[in-house]
Amino acid sequence: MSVPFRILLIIGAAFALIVVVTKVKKGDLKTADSVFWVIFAALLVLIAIIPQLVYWLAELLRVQSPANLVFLILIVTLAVREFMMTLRVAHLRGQVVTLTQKIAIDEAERLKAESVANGTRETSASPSDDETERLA
Amino acid sequence: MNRGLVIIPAYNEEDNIVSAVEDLRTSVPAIDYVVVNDGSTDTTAQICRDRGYPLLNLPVNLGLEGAFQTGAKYAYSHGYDFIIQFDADGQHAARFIPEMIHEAETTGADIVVGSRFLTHKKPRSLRMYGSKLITVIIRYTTGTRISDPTSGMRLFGARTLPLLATGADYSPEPDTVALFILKGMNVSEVQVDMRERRFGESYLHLTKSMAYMLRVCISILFMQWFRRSTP
Repeated sequence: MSVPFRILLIIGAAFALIVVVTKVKKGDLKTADSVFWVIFAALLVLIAIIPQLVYWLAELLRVQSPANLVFLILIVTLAVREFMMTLRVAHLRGQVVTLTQKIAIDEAERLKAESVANGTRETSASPSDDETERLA
Repeated sequence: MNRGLVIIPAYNEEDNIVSAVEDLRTSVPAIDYVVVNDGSTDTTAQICRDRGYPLLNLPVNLGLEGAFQTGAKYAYSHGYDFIIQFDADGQHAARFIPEMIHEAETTGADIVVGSRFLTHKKPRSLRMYGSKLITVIIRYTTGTRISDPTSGMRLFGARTLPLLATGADYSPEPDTVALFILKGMNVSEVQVDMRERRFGESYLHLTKSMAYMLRVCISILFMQWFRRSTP
């Protein structure tokens, strides 16, 4: 891996960190959710500073260019992350469905209880009231 | 006189909730409390209703942070001066609560942690090495020594309550305590005893402990420093 390439990794990592910290400070991102990206950026910096780690792995896997291995590592990391996000989204959607259904059912039951209460009141109303209502 | 609310987050604790609540009611009869049912799939909520325990019934599971915050929101809107985090699994001993309250009132501490290791040594186990590591990094970043940072038995005072109730990033965990210290709050500890978990599952499975440690360390060593001045 050339020096410009490694510098690019470090710049990319620094940029990613700045973005993540800014978002957490603003409250757009929770600290717990930012940890993955902090580790991600740290990994980029580690690869840039100690490329021998990648060289060794590239030889082991018989990858032609170590840079290709870096790309592979990044892609696999993102693919795994994407899958975890898919799971999380599915879980959240399940919660939204449950809540929506509960709101609808609770509202229906509340209206039903109210109409039962109203019905009780109407049967006890005097006939003259009804007539006054109709004439008005 | 300061009014406190004991918050008892509960997820599938049908086997333990009664003994936990009764322990609280007998040891500290004058204090208000509320069980927060975190979308349990067992009979936890029904048991609380049958026995007349004050209950906040979450329709879906939010996890410890969401469940605890529900109690904090309730406490904040009802004008409580402090809240106490108390486990539903019977691990915490309610008889130490008056001491924690007394500590807060006499020292003016914003947070009081019920610590297993203030006067007793930490046992040598993998879990305790993790606890020791967190103690060290909190000491390094904040200057305060918390002997039992992962203890879930904590008193949160009036200065912390608005943030806990309305903030989106304040889970009742060691890194939040570290953040509060960075924001200028005082933390004190009181020696307590805890029991081993009797039945059921914990919020923290052993397999997730590694991820937990990583998250807490990065949060305390890195992220919380940037959050120290934001509201």
